[in-house]
Amino acid sequence: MKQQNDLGYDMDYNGPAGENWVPAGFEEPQPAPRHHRWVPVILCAVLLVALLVECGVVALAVRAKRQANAIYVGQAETVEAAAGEPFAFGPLDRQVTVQSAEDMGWAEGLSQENKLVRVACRIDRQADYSSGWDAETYLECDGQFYAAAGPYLLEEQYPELAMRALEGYDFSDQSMNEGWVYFVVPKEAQQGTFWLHELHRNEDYETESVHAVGVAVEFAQGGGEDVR
Amino acid sequence: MYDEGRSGLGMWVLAGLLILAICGVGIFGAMKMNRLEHAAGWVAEAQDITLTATEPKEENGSDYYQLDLTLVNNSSRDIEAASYMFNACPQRGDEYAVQVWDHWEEGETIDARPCVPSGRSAQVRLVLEVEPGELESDTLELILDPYGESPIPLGTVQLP
Repeated sequence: MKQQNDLGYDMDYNGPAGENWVPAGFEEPQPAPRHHRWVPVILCAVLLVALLVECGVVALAVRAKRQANAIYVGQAETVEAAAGEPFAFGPLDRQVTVQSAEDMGWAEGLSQENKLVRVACRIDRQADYSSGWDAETYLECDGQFYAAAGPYLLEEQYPELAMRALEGYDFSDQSMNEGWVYFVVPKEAQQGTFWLHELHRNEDYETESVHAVGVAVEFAQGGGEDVR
Repeated sequence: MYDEGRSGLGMWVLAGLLILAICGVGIFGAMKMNRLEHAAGWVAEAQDITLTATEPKEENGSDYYQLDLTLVNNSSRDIEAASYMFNACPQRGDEYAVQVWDHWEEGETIDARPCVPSGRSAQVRLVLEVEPGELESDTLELILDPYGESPIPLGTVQLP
């Protein structure tokens, strides 16, 4: 006798033709063919190798770029000049005169340990133009170098000083210029060496070599009234 | 059947993660190269490094030392003798136990700009702020441009 459920249907019914009948959409998943099971494994192996190769390439590229950035610049050729006497500067031997230096003392906006000094310079007009180089100014006091406080640094606190402040560009362009190069130095400094650097650039605008002219200066008292 | 399906799914997930990793390394490499495009590459050497105890700059329990060295700058750019351009960390212990002290006064708008110009040698004078309790070694390693793209070691110095 066939078993029947509560609704009277035959419990052993296996479909119209007696096969194991399953409603549409509920087919049992068929196992993947054996060779398809290796696809994700092979893919993972390939991706892993690609990742390792990429890490190596990135590391080598970064290292090469760091080495390319580190351009070796030999120690500068230095020449001494005297205050008050013109000297030749730059590839076209432009005439520059360092006239004097002044101690302006402490001024508003400075640390109590520092003071403002300035070096007067006259730069003659240059008829010809030479590209591929720049100029920078420094003051050496007690073995330490100080970069100049250019017009952009001075203009907020001392707009009247910024008007006649010289910067490196003034030494490498063609116009005649006369003015002051300003420095913030320790208050103990009484003398120093004013350095004018001639920076030769490569096509990437990186410095390749440096020539420097140094002028020994003593800071005369005066000029302080300009900042008080 | 169930285990084989789970294993296959795991491999597909792993493949997806590997693709993400490849993309991540590629993006990281491109960003790093982009930053290096404008970064300074340093060629510098420190000589005659000395460390001497100095008076406290602040009352915070730290010890203060004056660091003096001669820096030979063969780089194509100037090296600013500023606190952010140097770092000193102990060989063992808390790496932040030593800081380069930064001098600043209220109302100060124009600071001295000590530097070592390109192609020159010059004295560099810095003050180190040391938390002695956090140190496990008296040897400090000096690093130039520690937060930049191409930091370089300058040598070691012993705390006195």
